[in-house]
Amino acid sequence: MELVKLLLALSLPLVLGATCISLLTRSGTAGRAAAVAGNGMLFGLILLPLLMRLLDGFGVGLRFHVIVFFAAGLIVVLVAANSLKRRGPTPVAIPEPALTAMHRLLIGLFLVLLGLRLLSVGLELVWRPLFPWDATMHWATKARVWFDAGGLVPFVEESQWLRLGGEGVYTDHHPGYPVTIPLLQLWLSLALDRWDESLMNLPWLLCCAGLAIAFYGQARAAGSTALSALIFTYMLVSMPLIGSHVALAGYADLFLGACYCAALMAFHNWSLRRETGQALQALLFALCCPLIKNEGFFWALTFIPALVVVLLPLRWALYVLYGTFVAVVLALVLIPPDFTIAGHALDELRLFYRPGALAGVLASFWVQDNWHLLGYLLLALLPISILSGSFGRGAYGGITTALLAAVLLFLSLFLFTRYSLGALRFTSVGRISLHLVPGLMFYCLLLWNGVSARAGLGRDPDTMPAVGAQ
Amino acid sequence: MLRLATTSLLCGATVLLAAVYLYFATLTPADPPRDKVLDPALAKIKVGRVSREDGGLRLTLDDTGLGVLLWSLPAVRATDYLLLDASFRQSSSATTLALFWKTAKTGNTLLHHTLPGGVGPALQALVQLGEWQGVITELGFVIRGAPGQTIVLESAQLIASTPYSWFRYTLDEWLAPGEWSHSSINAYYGVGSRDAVLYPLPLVGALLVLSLVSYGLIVAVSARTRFDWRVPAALFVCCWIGLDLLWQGKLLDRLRNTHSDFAGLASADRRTVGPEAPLFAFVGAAKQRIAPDGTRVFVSSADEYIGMRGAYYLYPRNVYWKRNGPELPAWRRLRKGDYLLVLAPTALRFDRQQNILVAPRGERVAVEVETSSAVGTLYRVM
Repeated sequence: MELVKLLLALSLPLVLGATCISLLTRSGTAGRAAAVAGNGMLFGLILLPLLMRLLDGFGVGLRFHVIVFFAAGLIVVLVAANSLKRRGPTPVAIPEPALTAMHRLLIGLFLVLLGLRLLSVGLELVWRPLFPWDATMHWATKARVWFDAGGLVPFVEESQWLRLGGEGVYTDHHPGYPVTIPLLQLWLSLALDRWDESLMNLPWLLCCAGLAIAFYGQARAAGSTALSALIFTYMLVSMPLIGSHVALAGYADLFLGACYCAALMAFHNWSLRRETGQALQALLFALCCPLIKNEGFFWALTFIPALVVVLLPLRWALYVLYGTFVAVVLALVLIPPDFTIAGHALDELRLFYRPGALAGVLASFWVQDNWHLLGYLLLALLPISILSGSFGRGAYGGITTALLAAVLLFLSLFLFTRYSLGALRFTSVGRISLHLVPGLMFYCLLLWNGVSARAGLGRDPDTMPAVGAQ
Repeated sequence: MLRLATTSLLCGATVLLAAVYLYFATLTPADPPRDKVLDPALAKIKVGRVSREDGGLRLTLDDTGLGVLLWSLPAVRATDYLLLDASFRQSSSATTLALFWKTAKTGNTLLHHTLPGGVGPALQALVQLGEWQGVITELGFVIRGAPGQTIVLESAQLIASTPYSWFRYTLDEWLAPGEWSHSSINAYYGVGSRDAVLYPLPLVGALLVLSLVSYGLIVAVSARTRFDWRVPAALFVCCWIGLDLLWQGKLLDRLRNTHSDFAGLASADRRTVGPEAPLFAFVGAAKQRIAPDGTRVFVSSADEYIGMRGAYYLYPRNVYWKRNGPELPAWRRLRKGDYLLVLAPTALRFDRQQNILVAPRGERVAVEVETSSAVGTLYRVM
């Protein structure tokens, strides 16, 4: 019975999310099944905690069968909506060359490597009790209390806890952090009907698998061949810090990286073919980022300049971006130092340049093996793409702007604020990079698509059929 | 295409190996000595009892669990030797092994370094020891374990600094499986210690570049060979897979250790093994004494990690623990019926005569001891 409930707990986010994403994904899109499954898993892992919060807010209480009941009801509604969905014109499928024996061999090889990686980190997760620092300091603490209390007891700052005498409130090191992660651990605990410090982290394995499948599906939708998409998916999952965050589950960074990547991929595919479904997915995932970690708010903001670049003519886009930049600088100068945004006050940040941190950031990508050869790949593909003429604004303008904004924010954080210590001592630069790295890998895939298309090896993303094309 | 990629990779690897050899040659002395064997028969026993046996030296630790071996060395230059290769056999895993040495410059001052991994096969890169300098006059080992425990020294030698030994050291660094640590969530260096001379990523990056250059030269030189993007792609993917296989190997090693530690144990029992077992057991016992009715528990320790873990194990009790702050909040906040879980090490002092807990700043509170062990004490505020 416990096994049945566990399997139900693991599959419910997938079914819930997939029925939702399926509504937003046009039929006949290349890689549709994978995109729906992968994005569905990711979205379901965020939607389910939202449902739990809603149920608790209405006083329904957090019991496994109650949550399943309401989730099932939602699924029924979504399935009905899917069946009623108007089927628009199917995009023209561009015929791909048949797979040769070598292709099949390579596909088999990369599937084996992928499977081996997921199995290795998955078993580590299943056997090892909760381990990493922050996981026991402020993520799982909430799940533990809520499991025991059967509801979402409030967590407050230490000073407030002392003032209230601890009556009806709890505290930990970061009581104000978003609750999606501890709710996922609570969900598994409710399914098992016991506190299990290993199995409660299975959502991390689901997140990694969902990211991989979504990446493959969206890569196919963006014009990659099956082999290219699979190789890049393998490279994504094989990066050491991605695996470490599954094996030593308990941190929120992998989820945020997956969510931001899902938003980027959907945004890019929308910018190619202007499908409403992809736009909605991009919006959904971007809005979900702050629900995972406070930094998600800033990553979500990167879509604003990206939208400007996609929607406006180049000159106007540059005017708007320049004006926004000036406005941001003015705001930094004029707003009160104690004004808080996403949990951070300006005076806390202690803004000035820390030159020593740059070496740490560079070492994190080009000396330490956190991301294998991703840094080198990006350094090579960008100039090759530009010089070969395959770097077209129409194809890449939006995602380039979003990622550029994100990288600038990332560098600002580690070079100009007190968080530079995280780069000097390598205590956080790797984890925060994880928020952007899946998106950067997708970007490398896009650049490769362009280069290989010019070389006659793949499909040209600039000639992807528009919606309605027959 | 495959033949071209393979040829380019081999050319690149050859050039890279040659370059690395030349680099290592600059690190080695012009006239390197031979490896210096530390003969167990010539070891002096400073602490503990010893018996000589075939294949080694059997050392029995004294009543305090200490053993010390040392060798006098005839003016050994530190820069001549790169590695210490020592092999010990032991009857228990709870031992620590430290290397110590004296130099002509520091005289009788003992310089020392604890060898990670405890007693067992040990390959220590002496180049990583900042104080391994000058002329070494004496070298030895300090072993700590259980009283009366026996350790067998099978062999020990100083490996001379040669390009070959540098290759061996680099390979050992790259293949060191390592263990999961709290820094693993933040970074993966690819080497066993951060002091390694060559990291795999930049070297594989160099291999890739050299392979691409080799391919470029082949295309430039051969009239029949046209540039094919699949070759650079294949070279890149091969290099990626090569790096990844190193990581996969380490993952499997760590998985083997995790399986050995935890597999087969119920979830509730997994905290009963490992270095945190005593803390977990004590906090679990303390938790039983605290009613699950929202009663407040303040966790206090001078060690941040122990305080944090102690607090975590106490949940779902109503726990207070503050990082980067005093061990306890302002004592006027404490009230009768609160619990104080004080975990060693601590700056708080308990006055048994008056049943008072005293803070370093002088604050006092009347308490009653609920339970106590070497790990810590649970007090109740009176």
